[in-house]
Amino acid sequence: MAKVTIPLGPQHPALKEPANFALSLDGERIIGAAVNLGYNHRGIEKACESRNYTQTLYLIERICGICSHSHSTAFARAVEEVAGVEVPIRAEWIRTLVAELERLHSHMLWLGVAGHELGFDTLFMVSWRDRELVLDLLSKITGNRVNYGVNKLGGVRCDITQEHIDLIKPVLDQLDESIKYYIELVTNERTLAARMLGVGTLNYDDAVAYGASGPVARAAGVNRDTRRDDPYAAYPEIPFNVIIDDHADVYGRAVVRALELVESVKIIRFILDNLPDGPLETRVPRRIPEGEAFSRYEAPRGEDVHYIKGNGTDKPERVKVRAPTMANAASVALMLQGSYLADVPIIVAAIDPCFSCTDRTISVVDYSSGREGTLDWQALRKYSIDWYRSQGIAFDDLSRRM
Amino acid sequence: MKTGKILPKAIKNLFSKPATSEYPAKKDAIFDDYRGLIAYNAEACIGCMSCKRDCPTGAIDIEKVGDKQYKATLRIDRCVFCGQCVESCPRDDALWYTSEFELAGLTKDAMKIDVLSDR
Repeated sequence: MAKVTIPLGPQHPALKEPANFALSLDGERIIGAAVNLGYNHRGIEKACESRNYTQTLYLIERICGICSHSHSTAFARAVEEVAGVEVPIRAEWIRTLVAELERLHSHMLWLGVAGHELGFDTLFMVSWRDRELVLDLLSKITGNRVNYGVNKLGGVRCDITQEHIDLIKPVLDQLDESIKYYIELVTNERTLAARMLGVGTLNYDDAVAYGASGPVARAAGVNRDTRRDDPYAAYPEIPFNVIIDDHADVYGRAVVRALELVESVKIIRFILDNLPDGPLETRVPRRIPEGEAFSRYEAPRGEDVHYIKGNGTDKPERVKVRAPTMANAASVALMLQGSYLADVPIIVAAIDPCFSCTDRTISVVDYSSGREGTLDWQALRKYSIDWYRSQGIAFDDLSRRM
Repeated sequence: MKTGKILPKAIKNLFSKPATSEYPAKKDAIFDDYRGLIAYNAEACIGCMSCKRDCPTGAIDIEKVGDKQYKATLRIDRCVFCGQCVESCPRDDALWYTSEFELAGLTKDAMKIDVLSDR
């Protein structure tokens, strides 16, 4: 049978965000796949350069609607490092507490989405109902359901009182029960296993070669977790297990996420029992000195990396964000190879994609020839000068008014 | 491995109360500490413009209307409810959150409001 190439997306009912997959099919089997991102480029990194650090923190928090705390903590930690500020220990623990609550709701969200993509909507309903418990908690502690605004440069904005602890603990008991149910469901339900076992395989070597991170890598047996390997915030003092699985398929990813829910609940209990006293913030100067910092963070979806460069003013010189999906997107093309067309939605969903967070680049395509290319700094500069000149603005004569 | 493990739960849920709240009849999703619309006490404001300087979206504006008298306007369509204005304010009693969250409007003009303390 002749090879057929079909596009999936950017607009497709199975995708929650715009992304394009060019699939080459032999019958129902996929023999080649290409992932094309870039439909949601928002120019956030550039926008950061025109805002002061406090404003940037809130813009960074809005990169992702699910792992908002991950991005804002990674950014705040990078700025604090450049400024040479030590964050109080209590603030670090509160950041960790919110981070783990976020991981809980993010993994439960994934479980629901996965159920939905598999056509198992009862699981979707049940897990999203239980996720509301976590969102209500976050809303009570921080004042908002998703963009918590917990972080400030040098510390946190909200305290955890005894009242909060009394509020969280019963919910954790409730969650314990539902998580136990999820694990039983994921590991023992035949219909789920039939749709997930052997689907979207990514073996150990490929996971390492393609730089997969987070649950995708851990499901392939890659023993990697930034919380343990490069501990930040309160993680050096908190005991927890890194969940690894060797199924290397969608099933493995589901098991890793389900078991990580248990670990998150354990970490939250530990934090509530051992929360140290002390101040909530250290003052950070408005002007951040010259310097650069690199910050790693284990977001629910994988490793989140932030880079910032300060130039002595109150605005960053450069902000670079590599969201976890960027690391995992490359391996999707490999997972799709050899799979059935009907399995594409769950294979894509299994990396827990967040394409809007990931889009950092656009490709430059020559309209007439269709050839892709790159623009270096000089060419980009020339292009912008020519473009503005065509609009009647000449940069070689800046005194001339528009 | 078993089949239909979720069936008992699904059948039970079929006959139990809905998990969602009956909005707008009941608004139990909003808590006291919720970061909703801000409130402003003009008498306490010292006009330092800290809130305006730190607002990530340029939503809040403080205007001088007389000698040591100020007025706050808020563009609700720009506000992201981060609460940084309240955080930046050096006074304790000039800006605070309310749990008011039903802020939709039909025109752009309706989205620009004077922030008052009695809202």
